[in-house]
Amino acid sequence: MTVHWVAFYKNGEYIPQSKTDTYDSLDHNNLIGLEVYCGDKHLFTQHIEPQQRLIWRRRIEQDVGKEKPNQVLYLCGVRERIQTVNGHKTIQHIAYLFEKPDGGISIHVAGKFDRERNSFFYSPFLKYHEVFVGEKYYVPVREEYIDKNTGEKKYRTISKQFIKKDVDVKDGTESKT
Amino acid sequence: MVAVVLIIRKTNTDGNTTADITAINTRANTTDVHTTADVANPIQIPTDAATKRSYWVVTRLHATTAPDTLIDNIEWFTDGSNTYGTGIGNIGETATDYSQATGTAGDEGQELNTTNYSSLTTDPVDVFGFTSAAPNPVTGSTTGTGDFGDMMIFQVTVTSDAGAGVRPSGGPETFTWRFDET
Repeated sequence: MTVHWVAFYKNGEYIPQSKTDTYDSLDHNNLIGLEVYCGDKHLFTQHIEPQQRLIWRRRIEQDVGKEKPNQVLYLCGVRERIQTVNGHKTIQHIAYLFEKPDGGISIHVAGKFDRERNSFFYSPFLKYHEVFVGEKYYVPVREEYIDKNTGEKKYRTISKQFIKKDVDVKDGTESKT
Repeated sequence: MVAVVLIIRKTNTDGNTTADITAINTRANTTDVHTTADVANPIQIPTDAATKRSYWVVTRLHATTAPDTLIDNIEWFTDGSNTYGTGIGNIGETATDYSQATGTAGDEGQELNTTNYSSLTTDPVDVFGFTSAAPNPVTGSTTGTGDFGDMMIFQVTVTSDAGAGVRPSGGPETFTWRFDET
């Protein structure tokens, strides 16, 4: 069974996950929810408030010497910026959907990214639409090369870069630094 | 809709000889050829205080079906338990480019270090220190098909107190890759 999602926008539009409608291509400024399915079975709906940012990943663990991955899981949840007496703080509410050998799904709901609690509960590299103003998002630094086998022009990542987000269209905030 | 990713071993002059080791074991011995069961090219057990080594083993991820958007956040680790037995270890580290393994076939391989393998990120360490709780991060990502990410290079080391025979005797060591996909 494949885990997949259907996104829904403020205007009532529903966008099923597809090769062309991907997590990164969604209009995250107008996204208000994500319905998560296993096959045709609805598992849960993640609602998204204006002060929240959606997180979605497929995470794979594969041993050398095994026909199939040891574990496939999905991260679905939100990051949220809250006000504290010491200023802003970002917290997470993440559901980890573990594929089971029998085809079922086991759902673990957790807060902060915490590898000590469970070795799968670590942070992904955050994308532009997942961070708040003042936080950093991941950008791979690529170089062009020619594949020796095919002669094709390809790109490879040579390092990673984390860039600070200065403006957030969703909540209209700007960096003060 | 989801990527198909293999684990490959690279050998030969330019690393373009690849073996899909996703579902099979690969042997760290003293030949620059992937094999699951070769016994003709063992690592000799030294008779003095020296260390003998396998040819280094170069592994990498390879996508045959591209992700919708991106694969990143790659990690490599072991189960943290050396089951080779006394006198046998395994050292490794990531590298940005391929260097062919060399040495004396049937005897020992050249030492894996940043001198002999210039694109190695740092000098190699005990791979059993890389666990799911503290994995080795692997730089790289892909939006398409083909090889991606840095390579993970490792090498078996043998000292005089090692026992002869196929090691580990109970079956291969387990090495693991993890990555995120969107």
